[in-house]
Amino acid sequence: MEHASWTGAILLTLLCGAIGMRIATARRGRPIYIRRITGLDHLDDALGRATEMGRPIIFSPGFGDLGQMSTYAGLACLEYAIRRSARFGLHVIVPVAGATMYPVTQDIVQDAYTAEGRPELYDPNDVLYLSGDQNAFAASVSGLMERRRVGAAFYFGNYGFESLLMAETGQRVGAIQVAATDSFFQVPFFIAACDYTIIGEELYAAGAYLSRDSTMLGSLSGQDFGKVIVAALLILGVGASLVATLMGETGSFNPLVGLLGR
Amino acid sequence: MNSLIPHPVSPFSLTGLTIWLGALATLAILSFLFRENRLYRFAEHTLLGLGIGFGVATTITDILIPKWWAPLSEGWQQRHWGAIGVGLAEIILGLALYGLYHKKTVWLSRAVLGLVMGAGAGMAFKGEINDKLPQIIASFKSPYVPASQTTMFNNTPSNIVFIIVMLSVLSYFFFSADQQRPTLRVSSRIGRIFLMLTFGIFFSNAIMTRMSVFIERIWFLLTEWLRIGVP
Repeated sequence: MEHASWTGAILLTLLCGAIGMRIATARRGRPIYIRRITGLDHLDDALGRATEMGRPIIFSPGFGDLGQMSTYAGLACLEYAIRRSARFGLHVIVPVAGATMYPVTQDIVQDAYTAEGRPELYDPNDVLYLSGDQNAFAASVSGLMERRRVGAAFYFGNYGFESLLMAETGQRVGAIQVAATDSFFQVPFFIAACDYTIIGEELYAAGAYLSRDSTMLGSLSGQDFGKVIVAALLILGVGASLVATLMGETGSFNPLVGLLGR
Repeated sequence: MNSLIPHPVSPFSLTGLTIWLGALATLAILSFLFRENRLYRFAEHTLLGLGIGFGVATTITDILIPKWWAPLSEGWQQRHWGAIGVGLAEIILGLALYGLYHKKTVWLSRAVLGLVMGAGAGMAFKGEINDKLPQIIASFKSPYVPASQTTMFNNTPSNIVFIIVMLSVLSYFFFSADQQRPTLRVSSRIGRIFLMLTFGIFFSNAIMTRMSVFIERIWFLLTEWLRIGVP
């Protein structure tokens, strides 16, 4: 079993403490600033356009499973998209790739419709378990998009090589597309084929950005505090390395390396 | 010269039949480039069916039998109550997922789903610091490397570029700080430029890989199926 080193444990405690504190602050009603994320601002435009065209939309929460953080971020955005779509009376097709994802997604979709007071819009057949095989998943999503002539397509989550296959089909059917993924190697394909792309960690911020939920906003702010700690560590570490080099130390002598490596 | 005229492999052997099926499936999938059609739909659903079938088979052979049935039956034979208890708990929790399909039992599935999601999030969280800490340590590069210690991956210019890229990209991902502040604005803009450069490199690399996959398929159709250039 993996155990954290004591420095790792201290960092983790600091990070969790910061997140907890910021959540508490946000819940007390103190406003938390979040910078603008352009792609997310256009989510509603995409939904509006699909409504005007009278076409359904497709929302894919990625190819990942419940062990990946990006899947949770994707599911948080799915809930938002469903709630907004319910207001417009839009049909939302949700293809999923994992067997364990299927009941979770069904539950989220049903709850979101109910929360908007439109439970009658929920159709279990709109949440589709397709396949855990990437090729089959991509072929099926592409086929679905062509057959249903989707008006908007959203890709929020973890993706593999299927990203371009799906996004290219969306482009072909004239759907307005928004993608968000932390799969670094797939971001370029989404940038090439989608109207708006949310890069890397912006996906984790998406849930908080869209819902403006105080807990999520607090968590996001706490994570930023974690990044400040990491940035400070990096600057200190680089500085220590420079001093060690100037003092003529050979190899990787650096007191911070020794400290963090314990 | 005759070898340049297509003379497809005979489908009346196991190898020939496999090649024919592969070629037809390739053409069916490629037909999507023209438009969505029945042939593509047939290939798509065949692929889906195969994927599901394969998934079910591997779940039985790789998970249910070795990880559930084998320890349970072994525990039963040796009267090992701990193993029996775990095995029974697993099957009960697994079956409870199907509670989703009845209004009265939906709470059962929710309890299990909560457990699955909690375990998933916990596992994802577990390795976060332990995975990242070595990366942080590896990033402590000196912006000055004496000539005697210079290597291909450890030299002054590349270390300086590395440090600038690392810090500027990190600053791009600050969400709760006002990016209009001059320092952060400049830094995050530089970070974004570096990100785009990196994405461009990834893109060209991946396109090359995919082109080679496409060429392999065309090569298969021409040489193995149509046997063009094969005596």
